[in-house]
Amino acid sequence: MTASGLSKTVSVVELADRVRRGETSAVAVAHDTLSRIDQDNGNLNAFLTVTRDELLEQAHAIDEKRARGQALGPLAGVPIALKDALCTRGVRTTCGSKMLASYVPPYDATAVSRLRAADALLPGKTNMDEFAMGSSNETSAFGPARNPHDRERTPGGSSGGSAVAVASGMTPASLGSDTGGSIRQPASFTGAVGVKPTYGRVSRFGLVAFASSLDQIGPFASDVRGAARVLGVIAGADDRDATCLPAPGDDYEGACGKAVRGLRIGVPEEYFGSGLDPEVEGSVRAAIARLESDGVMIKKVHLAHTRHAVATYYVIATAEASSNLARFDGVRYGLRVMGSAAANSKHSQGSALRAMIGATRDAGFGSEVKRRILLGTFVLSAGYYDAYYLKAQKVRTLIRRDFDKAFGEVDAIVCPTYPTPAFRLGEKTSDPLAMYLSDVYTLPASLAGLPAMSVPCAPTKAGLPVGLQIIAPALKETTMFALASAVEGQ
Amino acid sequence: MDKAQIRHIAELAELSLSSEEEEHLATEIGAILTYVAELEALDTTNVPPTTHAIRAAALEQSLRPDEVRPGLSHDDALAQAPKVLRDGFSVPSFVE
Repeated sequence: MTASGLSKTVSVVELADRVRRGETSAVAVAHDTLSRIDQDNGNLNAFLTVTRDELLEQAHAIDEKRARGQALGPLAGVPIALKDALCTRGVRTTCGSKMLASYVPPYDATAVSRLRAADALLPGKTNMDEFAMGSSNETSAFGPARNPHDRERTPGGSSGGSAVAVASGMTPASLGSDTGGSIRQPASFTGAVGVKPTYGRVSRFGLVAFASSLDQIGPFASDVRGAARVLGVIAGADDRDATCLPAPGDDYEGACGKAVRGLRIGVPEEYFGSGLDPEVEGSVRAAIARLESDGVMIKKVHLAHTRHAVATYYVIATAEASSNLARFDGVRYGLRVMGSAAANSKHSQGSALRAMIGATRDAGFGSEVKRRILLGTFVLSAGYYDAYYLKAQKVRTLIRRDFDKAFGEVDAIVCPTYPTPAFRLGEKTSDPLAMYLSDVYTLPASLAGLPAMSVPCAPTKAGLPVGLQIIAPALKETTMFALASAVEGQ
Repeated sequence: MDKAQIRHIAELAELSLSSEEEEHLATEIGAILTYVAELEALDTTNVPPTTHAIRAAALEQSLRPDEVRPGLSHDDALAQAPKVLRDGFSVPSFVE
């Protein structure tokens, strides 16, 4: 029997409603959450930090607020796990890296403070690929999170821990960040709903930066409506992030369950080519056929530059990352390595300062992060900038134009989230390029700044989850949620 | 990409790499660059670069007035520094 009397499959909306009506207390929910984490986290490695005392304090405060007769927020008593790339005041934020293994931020990310203001419970910080660079959680300095459907398989990445927290029922929702698919792909691998909003929809203030023209925070949830409610709380203008759009958020929850009859969806040929697992294709096509029988109009569309998205992304994202990660220099926060390591450094002829910086960065960053910093530094370096970086930015325009053209004819695009179900841990670690190539279905929407989400469709015969991806025009998340709830209801 | 090139890039990126790292990173990055070179074949004449997913006009609107506001306190800003000296960040010497 659980303390709250609620099962671990209870949805975000039902949980918040019950806490608001006083049918269960936030403290009981907090105890249930902690016992589920205690039971499963040893096997799944989803949480890097569990904030027991803070969680119980938050829960008491919510129950007291209700006892005083004050209205509770839309996420009252809902436990929401946070990707460890989101700064939390007073709580360690590692970003999956040795560089920040003991970093304690002095402020909350805007998305986090909005969750607090909505009376959510925040049980802890989740595992991720180091600095969000990876598609399998295996670049985490703290060991990979594991897929609850098969612990020998990856939960995907980079927001793997946040996906696992939801898929295993430890929390009904979580936050992740998505630069090239880091919410959608783990959602697809674990059977969670995962949403990457329009670029600029959610403030990035307090999100450890990877690639600033692409990074976007978004929710995972056990159902579509839950994801919609969380997005409704975190979306909207923030004067601490100049790239956050001034437009207020929409009624995402209201869009769930809305009739989809008459909507036109595009099915891009380019997303159904070689490399697509036949079972994934079958599941996605079956979901599309059912949408058609619901009265959705299906149209073939072309996104001709899709296959160039991988090359484009890995130039632009690494260039931005090399610049963003220059801040980790052992001076203001994070790791500092001196002594013999610094004495052996190749920069030791420069100065003791440069030797310290070089040694700190060598010790603090893992190999995937180094690879991307070096690649990014190369494409920005004198003599190569035009050929690589500027060229990639121009191809980014072509990719965007493909979508602009398609959205002249259809209201949304539907395709697989990832070419395969979850792969085995260790399967792709020896070949970084092979790992990058599989991101081809999630990268184009990121490059174009479009909202996109993964919603589960029929699993494989072996029981592995499959994700259907819905891509909508900029700021049309409501269309995406209406379609997602139609797929969910199939 | 050869070892001399990777060493030059590593110096620009302030990374001190071991020789084994230099070796395998040169191979891996070389392979990625060979793949990325496929972009050369695309005709991008008269195509403007996309520097950001948001149109510049939308960003203009979201700038707040340029006025002084309280930020982090001095103590908070120094709290995570690996080494502090006389109310500032302490660094190893960089001038002989």
